[in-house]
Amino acid sequence: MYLGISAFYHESSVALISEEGELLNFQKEEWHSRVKGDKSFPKLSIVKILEDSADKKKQITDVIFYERPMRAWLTVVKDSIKNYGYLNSLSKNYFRNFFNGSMSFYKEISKFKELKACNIKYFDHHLSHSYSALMYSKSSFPKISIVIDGIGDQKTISVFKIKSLSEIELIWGLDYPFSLGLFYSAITDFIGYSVNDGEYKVMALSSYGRPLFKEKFDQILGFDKGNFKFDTSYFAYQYSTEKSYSKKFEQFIGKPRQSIKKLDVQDNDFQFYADIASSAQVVLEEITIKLFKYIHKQSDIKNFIFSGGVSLNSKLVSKLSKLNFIDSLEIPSSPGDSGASIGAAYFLSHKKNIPKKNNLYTGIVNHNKNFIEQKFRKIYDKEDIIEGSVALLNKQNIICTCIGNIETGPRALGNRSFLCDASNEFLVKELNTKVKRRSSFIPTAPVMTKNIANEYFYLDNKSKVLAQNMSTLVEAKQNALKYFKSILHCDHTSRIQISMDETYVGKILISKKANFHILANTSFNISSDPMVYSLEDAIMTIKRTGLKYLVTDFGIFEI
Amino acid sequence: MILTPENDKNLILTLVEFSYAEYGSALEMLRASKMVKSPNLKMGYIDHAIDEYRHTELIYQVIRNQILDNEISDLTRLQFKPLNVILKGYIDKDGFLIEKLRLKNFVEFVYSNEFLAKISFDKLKLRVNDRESLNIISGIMEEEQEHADNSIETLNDIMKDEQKHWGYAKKYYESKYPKSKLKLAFTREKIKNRLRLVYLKNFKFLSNIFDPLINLLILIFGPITSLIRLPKDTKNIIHNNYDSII
Repeated sequence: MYLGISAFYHESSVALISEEGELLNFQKEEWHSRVKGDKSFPKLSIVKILEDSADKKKQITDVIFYERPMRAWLTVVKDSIKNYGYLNSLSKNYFRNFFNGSMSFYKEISKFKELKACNIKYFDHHLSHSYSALMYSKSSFPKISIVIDGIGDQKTISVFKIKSLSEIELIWGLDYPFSLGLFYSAITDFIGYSVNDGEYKVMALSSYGRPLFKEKFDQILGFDKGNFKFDTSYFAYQYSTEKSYSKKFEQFIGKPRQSIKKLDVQDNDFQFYADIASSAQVVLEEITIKLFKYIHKQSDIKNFIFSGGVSLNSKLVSKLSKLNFIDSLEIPSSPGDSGASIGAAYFLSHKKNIPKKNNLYTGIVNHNKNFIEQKFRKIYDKEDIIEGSVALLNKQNIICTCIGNIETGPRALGNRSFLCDASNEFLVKELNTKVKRRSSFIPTAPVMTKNIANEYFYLDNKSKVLAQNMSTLVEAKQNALKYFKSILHCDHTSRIQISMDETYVGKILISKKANFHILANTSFNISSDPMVYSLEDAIMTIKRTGLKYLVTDFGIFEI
Repeated sequence: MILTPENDKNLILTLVEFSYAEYGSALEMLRASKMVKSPNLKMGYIDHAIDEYRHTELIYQVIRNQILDNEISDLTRLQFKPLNVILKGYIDKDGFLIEKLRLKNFVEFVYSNEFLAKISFDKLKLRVNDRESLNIISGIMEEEQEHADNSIETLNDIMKDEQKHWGYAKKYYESKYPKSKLKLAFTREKIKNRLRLVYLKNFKFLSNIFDPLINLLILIFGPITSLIRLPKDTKNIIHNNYDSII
């Protein structure tokens, strides 16, 4: 078995993959530490995976890290020193933490006696992303893998031509410090959100704005016929640990937002920052579409897989899925850094021709039955979970789910969700702003069957596949505007999930007793917490939100 | 559970530290709820965690009130970022306290630190002026006192469990608990917090010593890094050497 590890930059994670290439277990460190975006060495996740696999006969033979630590360190330090002098705050930080970041990987792994005999490998960061996408990919070879993120080892964009799982060629790349991902992060920082966390808020905000700053951004970055233009003088991430944008950027665009209050539609400065978000979103979309077109023209390949943090931008994905020259566009359920551990481990496997599973729920959780049964009143037995859930939803309740394995990716797909009838506008609003404590401009996503999705939304074959793990936005039809306004964004789009009949949420939606067509579905957590993992987290979160009903593998309980 | 400098001149920054300390406490309690077996204890720790999460939010309410009265140039550094709870050392990723301490010692620790937190909030109250913030802090203080009191009850429960599960003698408990041991634990935690305070107060002084050393290191190794050439990828990129860190 092979253990893939991603750590020290975004949410850290561990993936265990069999020799045949099957994902056996996946754990994110934030699930265990309960610190959202925990990027520290995933000690708790490794312990969990070793505990779970203790009875397995086969041993872990190889441990693989998702990047080459020295290359990643040198790439940043060399650029920083060359262009901004020896003693800038970034280079000082990198030297000071030389033994704390990726370079400490070997030391940290050595602390586990169970892994001492393992071979240690270091994979390419963007190839880790690509293999994570390849693991789920059902399209035929050859295909193109496009990876766009902040930075990975050395590249910030990589385009691979994949002839087979063992024949991969880098056909186009963009080196650090030029970075489309870090441009979007700088905008996130400028609007006052945390980098690596608030990017989705910028995307949601962009729908409220007009691209008034696009011409200005065009002067900073662009893409034309294979050439990437990027003026680094507007950014500070190359030399500063404090800010991502430079003074020059402030002079060019305006005053950055500095507040500890949530930005909301009523705020005086809302429109200004929405316009900036809109402009950044349009530039991101325009450059990425040009890149896809350029690569298609060069390679004549029509099957694409897309990964890296930027592929989490569902608004961008919806634009890409409309490109006629693309036959197939696939995005893994965890396309960011946390999913890169899966790709790294998958690279080592023999990749036998096992049936492709969707692998949407691979985080194994062992629930404590005695605790919940002793402390709380069971209102439906485990055999009646579906019937009970439907009855509670019919009565216009919000239900909370903590059943089975946790979702592999960042989006709740029913196993760790708050669910309620999407036709109840008031209830969905309560869920979004009071329970989840989100800013009112961030929309709530829905889940529905494929038939219902066809009835209320404009779908093509590509978006039907992408909607299984909520990777794209789709446009609402007129009847959705009439009955399901609560789950539509201001631009009448929605990041829908098309349920699969065999899943818990799928079974609810196909129940004949259901009086609802569409459910509002949002992750089971409060805004600054990671998704609920165990029953203890679930009970704690329910009590903090004032909700009542918890659906578990052992029945439905009143908390 | 880690206390902040008592005489910090900047009230808002002190409050920010308090909020992370409370958040760290919440995470410790939640972890404890997962490690203990007794359903009653689990529930006790979950309820405690909920209180600490609420305290974090309430302290931020106080911070927002204070900001209205103060000119702060860079508000982004005051934003609550969960990751800071690790970076600032309020939880130790090498092991949560419940994993490092025996259950009995863990409860002693909780008792001592809840009591110390109450004392710190008492001092903080003197520096907050508006009524709403004072009410919030008073509410938090009452709950901290309650947690300290509950810890003694919990100790009794634990001893019952310990007797049952790990065979601790009742005689041992009666001879050692609750007064003498708790007092000792309290003194131990107080000394630890004092040392932490000394460290924080001298942080700037320590930086003045270590910064030039780091600068010297960069001036020595910086030019070397610029000479290192990164290996080129092979055409079929999967044939690269993936045993190497570079």
